[in-house]
Amino acid sequence: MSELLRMAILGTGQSAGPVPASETGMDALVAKLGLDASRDRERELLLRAGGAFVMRCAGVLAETLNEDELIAEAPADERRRASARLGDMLRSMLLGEYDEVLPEALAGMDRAGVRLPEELLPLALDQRGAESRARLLGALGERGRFLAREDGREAWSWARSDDVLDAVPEDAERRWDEGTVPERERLFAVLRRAEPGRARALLEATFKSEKPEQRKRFIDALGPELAADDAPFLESVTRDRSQSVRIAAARALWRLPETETARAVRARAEQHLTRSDHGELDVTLPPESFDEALEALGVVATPPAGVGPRQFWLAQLLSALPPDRVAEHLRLDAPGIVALARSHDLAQALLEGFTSALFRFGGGAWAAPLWDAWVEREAPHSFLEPELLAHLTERLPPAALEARLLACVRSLSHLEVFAAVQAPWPEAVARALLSRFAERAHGISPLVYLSASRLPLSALPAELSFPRPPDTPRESIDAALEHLTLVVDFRRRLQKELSP
Amino acid sequence: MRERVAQLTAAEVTALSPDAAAAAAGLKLAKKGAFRGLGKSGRAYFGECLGSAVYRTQIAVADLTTKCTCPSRKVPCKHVLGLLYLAADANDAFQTVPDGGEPEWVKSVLDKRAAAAQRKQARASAGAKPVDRAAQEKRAERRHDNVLAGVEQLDVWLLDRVRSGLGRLLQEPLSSFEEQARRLVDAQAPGLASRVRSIAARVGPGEIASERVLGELGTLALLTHAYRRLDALPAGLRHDVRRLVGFTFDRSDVLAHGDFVEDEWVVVSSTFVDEGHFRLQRSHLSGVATARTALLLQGAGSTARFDDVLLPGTAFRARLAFYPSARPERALIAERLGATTEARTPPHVTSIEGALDAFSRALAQDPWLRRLLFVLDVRIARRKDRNGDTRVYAVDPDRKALRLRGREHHVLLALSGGHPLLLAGQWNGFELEPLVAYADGRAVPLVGEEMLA
Repeated sequence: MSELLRMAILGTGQSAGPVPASETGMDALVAKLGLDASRDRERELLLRAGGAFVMRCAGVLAETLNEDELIAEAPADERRRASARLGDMLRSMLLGEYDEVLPEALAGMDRAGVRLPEELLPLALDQRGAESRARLLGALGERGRFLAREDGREAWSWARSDDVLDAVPEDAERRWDEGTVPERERLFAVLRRAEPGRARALLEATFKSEKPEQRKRFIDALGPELAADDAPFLESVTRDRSQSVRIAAARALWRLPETETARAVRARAEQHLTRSDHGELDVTLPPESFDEALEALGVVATPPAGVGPRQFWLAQLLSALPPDRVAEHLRLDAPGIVALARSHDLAQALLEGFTSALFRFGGGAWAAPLWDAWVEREAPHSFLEPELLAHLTERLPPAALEARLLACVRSLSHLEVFAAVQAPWPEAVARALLSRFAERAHGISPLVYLSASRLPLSALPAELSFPRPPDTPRESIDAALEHLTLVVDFRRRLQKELSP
Repeated sequence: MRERVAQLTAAEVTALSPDAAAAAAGLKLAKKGAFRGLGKSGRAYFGECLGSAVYRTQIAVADLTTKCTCPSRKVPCKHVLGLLYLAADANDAFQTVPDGGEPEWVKSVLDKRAAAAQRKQARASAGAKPVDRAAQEKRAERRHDNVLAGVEQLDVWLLDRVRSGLGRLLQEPLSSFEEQARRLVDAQAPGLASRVRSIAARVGPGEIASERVLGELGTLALLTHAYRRLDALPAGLRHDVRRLVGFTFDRSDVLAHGDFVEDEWVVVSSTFVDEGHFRLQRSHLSGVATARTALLLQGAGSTARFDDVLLPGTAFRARLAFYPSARPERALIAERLGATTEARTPPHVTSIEGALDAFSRALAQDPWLRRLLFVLDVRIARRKDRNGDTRVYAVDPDRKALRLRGREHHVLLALSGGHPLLLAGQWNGFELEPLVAYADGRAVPLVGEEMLA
């Protein structure tokens, strides 16, 4: 600290003696003013300090940085940058205006080979949620991945690897040993697709040293395409020290029909589900006390709150039965079985079991009857989680989906199912909805809002408007319809910007 | 004239927005269904925006003056922006009406303005009132006396601060600075008031803060010292000292006595400062042939528009009139000589050592210079400071580096991608404040909410 500054901090009232030199040319200049050394100490100090400050600013020397302090260059982007207008629209969406259109915009950008303008990348990297991040990955481009890396954005760490990891890297073993958790999971997914046996071998080598939750995630990540070669490893994992890992392994084995676990669980499940001589479903619940054998077969003991344990166990056992096997066992087709199940006392457990089995094993003929059963259930506490309803809806053949949605529009009932239908909705359904909207039907405002981003633009008239009849007071549906027209117009402008 | 509104691009409309949120809200309203009664005449664009209430929105074609009945304090509001975006995007949505055929709520405003303009014209045509020189001189003398009184009071305050010590400043309420600033405003020395307020913002613990505060107090003392000796100063410096104290030049004075330079001027940077009831647009221009730099300051009240919206990366031919100064930089547009062209990179780029040298020379001419704009060809780097914190630097090809102000430079990092780019920034003797980045033929403003486009 200079003496001048020290005197200034303490104050001339507390410091005796002459004003210290600033050690710049200012001292001589101030001296020329002929200030009284005793009476004008404050002024002298200020003038010296002011002059010294100017000289300090004028005399700044640049620092010299080393090569390794420079930020390494990002690879070139293959995608073209979004136009200025599209950039404006993307900024709006990333800031929350019209954010319901963002998935459509990003999908369009992926198809058109367009990436985000660089100045929007920080905003994009701020988006939360794994699903949002997955959608944004393509639009980020190389520059976005570079920025995620440089900014240390942990949530994007799977986007931070040096390459996109579509191909098996040469140093897979090193990456497996040294990578972060997200990097290893991504590597495992890629390897599992390309060289499943090698992926399993890598996993086996380090399995015991992984944390339990990670062991479970890797078991789940073995993927839908399990092979007989995977069976010995999975069988060994059914003796893991962690319960959740054991159950995950057993459930994976359900998908390998020739394994002992699969045979055993099928046999156990079929004991509880038969048909009577009258053609009715004969369903028995598992015993009241949970036995370890059930756990070894992959059944979780503790039910969620409000669910009876025996029904919970029954549903799990039924979920281990491949649907075609159920049909064979009961000598009845899917619609027939579901019809019997939905009127049974244990309908909830039966439908849950059959639905889970459909998700696990596939079985096209089951999707429509199960969908109808769930949507039309009236019993209290009967529900299917929205996510599961969405999965079920995805499995409906297009014609079956359209017919069901049209029925909902006609009767204005079960409108909640529309939330499970991804964009774009069928055109016939869109046209039917527009008629209902124009009628200003009561209670459909939520559906109007939902439809804004999901109606196919091709099914909409060039001029979309819903004039309010004269002398009709403004209601909540008016705000919903205005929102719809604004969003549709925005989407049309978006498509215009995305077209080549 | 009608074409001016229609020719606005979305980027220019965004540039008119007071902030990004207003631009986003305006974009949302930019559809026919959001308005009724859309129309245009030779005098105005207009429409009624349908929302929770109906807001009547109009834009005068001649000077883009806007009027909207909404309660928003933002200017322009989202309804005006929506109308402008719509005009840029779908001009045929506006029904053409003859001048005078606008709806009454539009016509009455336009007629009133036209009448006011006519009265002003009539006064001008009738001939300027003869100047009462004696009264003028008396007013100037009175002001000088007021300012001098303010300067004397400021001196007493400065000397008191030094007598009691900067260490006491930390305990002093900020209201003491504000009180001094208000007295200076009363003394018709708003420039000195502004300096006192900026010093208040710097007061803080630590040696570095104290050094800076002392330096600022010292340069303020140099300024008051200079004001007392105005007549002894060279003409250019005299004008600078008066300007810094708070005297302003009339546009007519500058046009009458200023230094005129004709060139093609590239807009290097433009930033808005919002003072609440008043907005300021600071634009730096660079002359292609003359290599002169110009600083344009445009002020506008909260309900008025700027005469010119200057976008970085655009260029136009013009005669600029420079205000008299020891280091002429402040200028105004005396005459535009051509249309605005798009997307130019700044014509004159300097090295970091060149910039520091130029700053040093500028300080020799104007010791109270706070910052100077440079365009540098740089890459971005990081280095840890002595506290272990990572700081970001701009590094030129000679590896000379200037530290950037602030810590977050995500947009700049994204734009550079580690590659060289042109960076327009203001150096203040301590740090470089990045204003605009030029990369891949685009000019991207880097200043927060107040940025253009």
